Amino acid sequence: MGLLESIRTLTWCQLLAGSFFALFSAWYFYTGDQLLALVYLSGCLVLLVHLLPDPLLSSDKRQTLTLLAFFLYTLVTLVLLITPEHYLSLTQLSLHLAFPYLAFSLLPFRPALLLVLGFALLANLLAMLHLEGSLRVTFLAALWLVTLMTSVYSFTHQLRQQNLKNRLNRDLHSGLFNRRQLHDDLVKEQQRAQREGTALGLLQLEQEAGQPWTTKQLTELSQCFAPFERIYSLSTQALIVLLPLGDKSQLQVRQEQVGTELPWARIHACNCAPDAQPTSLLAAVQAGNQKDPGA
Amino acid sequence: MRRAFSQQQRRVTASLYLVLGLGMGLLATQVYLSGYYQAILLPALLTPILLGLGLLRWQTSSHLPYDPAAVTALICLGVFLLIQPETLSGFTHWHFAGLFYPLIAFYLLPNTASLALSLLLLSGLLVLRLDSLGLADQLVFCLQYLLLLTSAWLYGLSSRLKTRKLEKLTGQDAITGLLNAEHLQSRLHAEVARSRATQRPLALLLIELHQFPLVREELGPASADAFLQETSQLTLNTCRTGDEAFRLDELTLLLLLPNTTINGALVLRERLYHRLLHEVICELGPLDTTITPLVLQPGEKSEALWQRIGDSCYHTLSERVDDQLAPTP
Repeated sequence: MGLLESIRTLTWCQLLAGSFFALFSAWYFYTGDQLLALVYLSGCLVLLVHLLPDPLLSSDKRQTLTLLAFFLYTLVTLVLLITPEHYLSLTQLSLHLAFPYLAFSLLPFRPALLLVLGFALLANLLAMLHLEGSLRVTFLAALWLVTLMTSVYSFTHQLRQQNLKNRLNRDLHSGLFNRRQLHDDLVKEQQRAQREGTALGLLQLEQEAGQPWTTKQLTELSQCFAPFERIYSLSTQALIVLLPLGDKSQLQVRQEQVGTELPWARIHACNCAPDAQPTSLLAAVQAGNQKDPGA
Repeated sequence: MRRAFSQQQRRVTASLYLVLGLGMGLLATQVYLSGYYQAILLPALLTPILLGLGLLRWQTSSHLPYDPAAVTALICLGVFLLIQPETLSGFTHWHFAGLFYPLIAFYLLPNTASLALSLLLLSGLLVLRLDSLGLADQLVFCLQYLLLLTSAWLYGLSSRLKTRKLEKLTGQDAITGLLNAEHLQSRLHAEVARSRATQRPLALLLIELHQFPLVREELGPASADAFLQETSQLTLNTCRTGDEAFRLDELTLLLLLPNTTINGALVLRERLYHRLLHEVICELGPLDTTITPLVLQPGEKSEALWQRIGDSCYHTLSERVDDQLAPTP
């Protein structure tokens, strides 16, 4: 399954789960069981917040709202273990088994892990107080098995994701090459310029207002450069362009061309000496130094 | 790193089989002690099977898309849930264990297989276990089962998707550490444009390791990965300054050689071929490799060059010939 197809399936899956929660909420509301209706409604709310499109909800707000909705869901799910008409029904208790699955799929790893472990401990305590005999054993065994299974599985995925993040060569937000790739390419391009007897220039681009770059601006900007003039994201405000040049004098010309095409951008430029260190080159271009730092 | 990750996942799965096996063992003991001998057969039979699967997965991994151990474990559990005589205090315990099933299925198997097995079990439960319930109760059970099934599906999909997105963004092949085919496409586009702008030549070397599928089949994925790593490391060491190495597909590496003519590519090809032949140890015999040089033609675009790279691979020749021979509708 391709990446895009997986994203679509995930959205459909969230919609499906949300619909089941909504259906159950309506059913229990109809039968007069307000507490269960509230449990399923809060579950539906968690999924709904997650499904709202980006323009309606910023990433930070979405995260806060998901956390709030999840806290509500956690509380009302735990209340089920206090009321006798609910804790004696294993169908309703099975909802507790879905808790770690929902938490790990909808929340970031750390809050999800804290919530899942807290929930399992509280549910364990309440089950010890209210359930008896084989019912208690079955419930607790299933609860802890699911909790441990999902926690360890999510933890291994989290480790893998952390390792991958350390190896990323692109910025997660803009999709441009990142600082790590810039360092690698800078060294390679310096060596190549030396081998081919050509020059290498660096351009730093910032917005006049110091604002972060928008997707539209990045698209417009990428059209000003040739495919071999690679753009790197240094921070949310600053971009670096690596310019392979025939000779050093071309840098000034290229800087003026870019300045004409992007009048709203603040541009600094510097020539790269073959033996200059990447960090000193970046410092030089940030200082707007026109001189050759390695010279 | 990828291998370490799959090893961790494998150990978690193995622990799950072991826990299930121990659970079955405890149930068999309880049934034996309570003297209800009709119910001892399945738990006693499934205990060694699940423990065996646990030990097997602890030691070795499966490279098949549908792990036979997982399929066996899920079938065992399904059979147990459907035909085990009732020994516990109430019917709802089976009911509850049935609801637990899709959560395990989605954890162990890819989506399609786990969906199929879970739905099969639901229909089995409805026919064999829940037939005495009223329609409303059956409906509530089915919907609750489907709700748990979608939650587990959501969990499996979202964890795999996050990892896959990051894998895509790294631009590196997980086994060799070389840049991957997607990165190659963008680099090729850039290098073709640069070659045209600077009027300098651009060459490529396609390195095909024909024994790779056989090594994997005969000696296992770990040996195949080690063989590939050794070859790619040697290829990297033979590269000149400014050259870049990529993994094009399963058994093909590609060297991008900027500012290099066909003669330069041929010299590098000879040097690389001799080093590979003398230094790479393949346990299946002398190294079987072809190294094909390609040069950017005047006026050729990156898309055309990409097509020519695909057409120059020997290992896809039979597929291409079949495509050519297939009758057009």
